[in-house]
Amino acid sequence: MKKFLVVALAAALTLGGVSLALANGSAAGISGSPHDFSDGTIKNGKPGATITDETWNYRGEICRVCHAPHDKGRTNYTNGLLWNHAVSTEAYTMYASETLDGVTDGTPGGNTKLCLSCHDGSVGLDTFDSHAGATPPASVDGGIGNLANGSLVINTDLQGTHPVSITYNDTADAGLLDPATATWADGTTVAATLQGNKVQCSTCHDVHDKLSVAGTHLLRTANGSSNPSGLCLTCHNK
Amino acid sequence: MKYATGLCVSLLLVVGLTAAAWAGNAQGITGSAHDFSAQDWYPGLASQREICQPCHAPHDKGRTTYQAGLLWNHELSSATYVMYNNTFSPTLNNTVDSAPTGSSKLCLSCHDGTVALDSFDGHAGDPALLIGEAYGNLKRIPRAMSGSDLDMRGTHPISIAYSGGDTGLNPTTTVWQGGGTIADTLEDGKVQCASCHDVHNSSESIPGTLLLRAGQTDGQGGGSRLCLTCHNK
Repeated sequence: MKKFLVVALAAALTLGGVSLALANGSAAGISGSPHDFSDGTIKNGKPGATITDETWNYRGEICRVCHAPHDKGRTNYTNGLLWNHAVSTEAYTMYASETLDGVTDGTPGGNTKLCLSCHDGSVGLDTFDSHAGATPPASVDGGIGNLANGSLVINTDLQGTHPVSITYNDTADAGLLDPATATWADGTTVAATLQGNKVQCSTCHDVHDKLSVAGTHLLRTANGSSNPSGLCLTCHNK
Repeated sequence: MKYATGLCVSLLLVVGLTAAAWAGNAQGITGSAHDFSAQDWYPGLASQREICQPCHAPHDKGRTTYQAGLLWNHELSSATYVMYNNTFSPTLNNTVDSAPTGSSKLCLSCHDGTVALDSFDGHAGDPALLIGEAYGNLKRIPRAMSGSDLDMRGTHPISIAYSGGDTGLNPTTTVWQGGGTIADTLEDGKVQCASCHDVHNSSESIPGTLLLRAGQTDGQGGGSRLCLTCHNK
């Protein structure tokens, strides 16, 4: 019994630790958020991470890793947004399913392309401005930020991730709620978080940690016990 | 005898309660038989129990469990099955896959009784949480074995083409009582578990049934209405 308690306690502590490490948003804005690489603090570090500080951010600014006010002719401005980070040149296997009614682009578009410029694991985090990246991709958190496969190996298989760059077709798909009336936790409509009526990473995640729910992966609505699967059920009529 | 009577009463109570709990209400996944967010066996922190997660995850983190699309997040069964096929039934006209396919494979990842309910999201399952152990063998499909294989010959054929020479079947344009056509509930033209059962307890299922797309009694919309939606008898 005593041994069981010890094991249970250890498990609880481990789980608690992991959850704290992962549940990393505070909804207090970009400063101090997981995407603030200027303060030297690894917000979601994981055992095995090869990066333990943020000295790779050689300019020490917050916005600059992703955006620059003047591109100096680098024409990185994918999708507007004054993009300042090298984008991935990988080709992806897109999500497909017989039950899918929306139309998926042949390759990630919109600002998903921007997220993948770090999160597919192929481009060094410090490949911004005209700086040639040297930091091992996605290694800042031991691979958890690598959405394609969760390891340090580049894998461009997006079939295991929720479809992105897909039209939100609630007309053909009765399983989707009306985006004009479905709202996230902060009151924003789903429609306002689509881009050209397409679901992108930013539809669920608020990259700037401003409109997200504290303690989540920058999610626009929480998914835990206080509102089980609340994020999923914002769009999915299940 | 007294003991036996007591046991019977207990069993009746348990079965009665269980049946009530499993019946659907067509009100959606929340609170349904497949909503495990309030279950103590849900692994991890109590504050992080979700509804969709035991089956689906938005990012699979490279586990590549995305069988049949659907962002599958539950460990699949590695069991082998004896199928209900043409060899077994001479009256069967249409082609059966050699093993369960499509979303049936997903249902069986809990319901064949070989994979623990909590084997999801990379979590190693607890043997006490095999469905037969946790919820009773009535939830196990199939239960019988043929050698070392699970015997599917006692359950309606799945992973079977709907079309293919059987004149005893109604057109696929036939509409279910709960809405949608037969064609809508076939996968790649095949009958799967989901052809009869609406796993999400949506408005397409009939209240008071085991998540069925049509009722089975007069009170539910007609005697054997589910069977007779497809079978021209």
